[in-house]
Amino acid sequence: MARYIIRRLLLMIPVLICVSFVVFFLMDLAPGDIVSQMAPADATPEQIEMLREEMGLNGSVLQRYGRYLWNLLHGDMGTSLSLKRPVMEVFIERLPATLKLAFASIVIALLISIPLGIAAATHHRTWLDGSSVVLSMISVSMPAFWLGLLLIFAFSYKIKLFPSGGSGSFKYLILPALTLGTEQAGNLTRITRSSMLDVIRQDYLRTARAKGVSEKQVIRKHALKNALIPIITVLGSTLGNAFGGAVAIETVFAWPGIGRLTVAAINSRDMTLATGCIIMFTLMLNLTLLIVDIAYAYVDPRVKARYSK
Amino acid sequence: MKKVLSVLLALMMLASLSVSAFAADEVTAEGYKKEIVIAMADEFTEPDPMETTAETNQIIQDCTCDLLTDTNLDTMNNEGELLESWEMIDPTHWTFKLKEGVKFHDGTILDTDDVEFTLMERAPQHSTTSSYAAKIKTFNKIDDLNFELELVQGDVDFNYTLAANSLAILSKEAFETMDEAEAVKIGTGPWMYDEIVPGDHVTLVRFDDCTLYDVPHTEKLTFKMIPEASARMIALENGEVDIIMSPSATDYTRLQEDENLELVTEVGRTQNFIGFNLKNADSIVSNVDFRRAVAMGVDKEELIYAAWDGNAVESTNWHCRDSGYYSEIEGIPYDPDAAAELFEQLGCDGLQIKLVTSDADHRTKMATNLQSQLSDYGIDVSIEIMQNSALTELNTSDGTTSGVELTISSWTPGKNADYMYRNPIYSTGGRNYCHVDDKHIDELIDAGAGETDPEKRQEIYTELQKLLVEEMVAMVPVAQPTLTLGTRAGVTGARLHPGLVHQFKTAELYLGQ
Repeated sequence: MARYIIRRLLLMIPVLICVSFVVFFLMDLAPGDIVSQMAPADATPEQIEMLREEMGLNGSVLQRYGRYLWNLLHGDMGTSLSLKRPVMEVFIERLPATLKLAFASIVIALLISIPLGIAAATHHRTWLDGSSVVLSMISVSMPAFWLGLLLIFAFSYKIKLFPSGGSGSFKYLILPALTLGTEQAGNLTRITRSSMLDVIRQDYLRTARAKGVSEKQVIRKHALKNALIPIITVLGSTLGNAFGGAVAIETVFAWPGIGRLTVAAINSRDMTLATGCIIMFTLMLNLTLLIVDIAYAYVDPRVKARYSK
Repeated sequence: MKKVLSVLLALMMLASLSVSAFAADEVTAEGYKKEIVIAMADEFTEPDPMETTAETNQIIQDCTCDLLTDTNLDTMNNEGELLESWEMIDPTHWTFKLKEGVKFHDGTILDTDDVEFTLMERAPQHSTTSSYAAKIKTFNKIDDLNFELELVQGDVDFNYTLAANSLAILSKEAFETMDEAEAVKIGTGPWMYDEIVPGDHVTLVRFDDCTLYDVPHTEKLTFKMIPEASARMIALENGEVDIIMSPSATDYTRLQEDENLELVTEVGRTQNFIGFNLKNADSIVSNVDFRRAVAMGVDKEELIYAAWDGNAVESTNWHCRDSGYYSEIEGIPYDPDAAAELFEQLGCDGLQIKLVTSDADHRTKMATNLQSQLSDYGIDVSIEIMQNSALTELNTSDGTTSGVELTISSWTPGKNADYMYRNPIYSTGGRNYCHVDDKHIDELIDAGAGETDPEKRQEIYTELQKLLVEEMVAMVPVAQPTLTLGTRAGVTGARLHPGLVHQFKTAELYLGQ
């Protein structure tokens, strides 16, 4: 197992270098640069050139990428061109907000999707099953920003229960987490339902019932545990995406997370910050997927046996 | 039993949340709201005035720092803020006197050493201020309050240069005794930094020793970043915030009709225009008759309704209304019949032309409306929309090879007349989007900047305005849009600045005892 983890960690290095290469070059190809945004409106061509020099934007893209990669390999992600602060410092500053939102949304998604998916599978082809399918389709199809605005309208404007945006105490977390969690719950419900449906028809469950095990025990101890692998897979990628992909929700709820930071960096052509954020996001996604792979071993003894060979 | 308990617990948690989510306004003994919360769209990123030109940063910096001169928003004149008075001995030689007893947040008293430190030591090191610093040849300290400047070249508008937000005066002593990151926060304004939470909010606390302004009753000023316009509006309606910046045009009626809210408006100083790339010799835009036909054929009123829901003032002139030496010129009036005739003479039926603009909402709306208007004359406009920095880069690149034909852009000048021309019109100007390259125009710009007689200056600028818009037709000025704020009813001291750096130095909300 340890060897497997080390191998996976080492494999992340080329992945991260490739990501940095692609992002750096794509950002360079995109028209516009940060200098035109940061220079005062009455800047002379000489001033603009001075600013370009100050920011280290002179030289070919290969030279600049070479410098960036060299620093990156030494653990230095550079200084944000727009914020004039180390990228790592800026990233870490925003990370707690993103993690808080990601984990809260996953908890909500699990609280909705697991019971609903199980209920739909155990009541296959009933109104409950039909309703769960319709609800999960709605939650998957509805744009997150639209759901967010609806929730703000209902719970903030009409009922005045939660603040409409910002961050701080627990109350600020509820609406964005509910929005993101509802969106994630759709997929998870569908996976839970179909995975449970597969397991529920297996012979060993029939045997358990024949032996007199209660239906609750059959579902909880035998069916759910065996249906968990596909659920964990989707859960892992959902969590990974929540780390960097909740841009719309962060914008609607003015949540100061990494998603908004990354988009702002891309819009302002802050190459070092955008590249740094995307590299860190890739790293977090890869680590989450690694944890998911490790979790398989604990859920399924067959996987554990394969690792130990 | 367990289930009942957990449901009760959950309900109690929700109840406690609802109580704290919309707590009652805290009021001072005099009946004023203790904290004013202002919602803005963009993030605050930088407290150092010399490190940024972003309006969001400058709005907050304006609360904590002061300038030597600034626009008085009541009279719209350039007046002394930290300066008591000044005198132009000749265009290269100026004397200044500082106000007495002005305190910095660190308790030190403003003197000429602070001004010298800001203008002569810090300004040359920053790209946002180096061009201003380069104008100064020598700084001579006369005493603690008086100093004189010798300029490299004559500049009769030099007092306006001192109104640049990046030239806010900082405390020399603070830089000697503190880290730079903290020293840049020490200004003379009525507010001091209390807390900066990146991406979320900035809180300022009142500076009771401020002598430049009447100290407001408000104890705290919080700037909250809410990017989404509809979320800002709901936050205002809920009472979560007291002021919102840039409300959506679709919310103006709600703001006007709700008795608890107010819509504050002011004509902005941003000139929105359709620009022609005069250096694109391969395009019909290099033909002055075509440009004149476009100017005659475009219904600006329709463009204004499309882009700003009618909330803008139509322009006939490149020169902004409240900038010095504005002339009421006729421009090129709307005449669709004459335009159609001219387009026909030029053989424009079926003509294909490219327009570039940025992804700002009003610009894309202007672009699609212009496309529709010109299609009535048989002209097929293809629109290319890009991010603003990309547009700036394209418009400032070599006009002969950029491929740009038409552009929709804007220019927000300072109050001084020279600002209207030096960068966007002068042949070597850094923002010469129309690629004007005319020796006579350059001479007029230089003459206007150096002329001390106001009547002669007026003549020069009137000639420039007519030349650009009526004869050369380098651009079609469209409109100066209205700036807006949404506030809770009763908010005072929230002032819209035509140059977009709005002022909240004395913001208050009286709620009654």
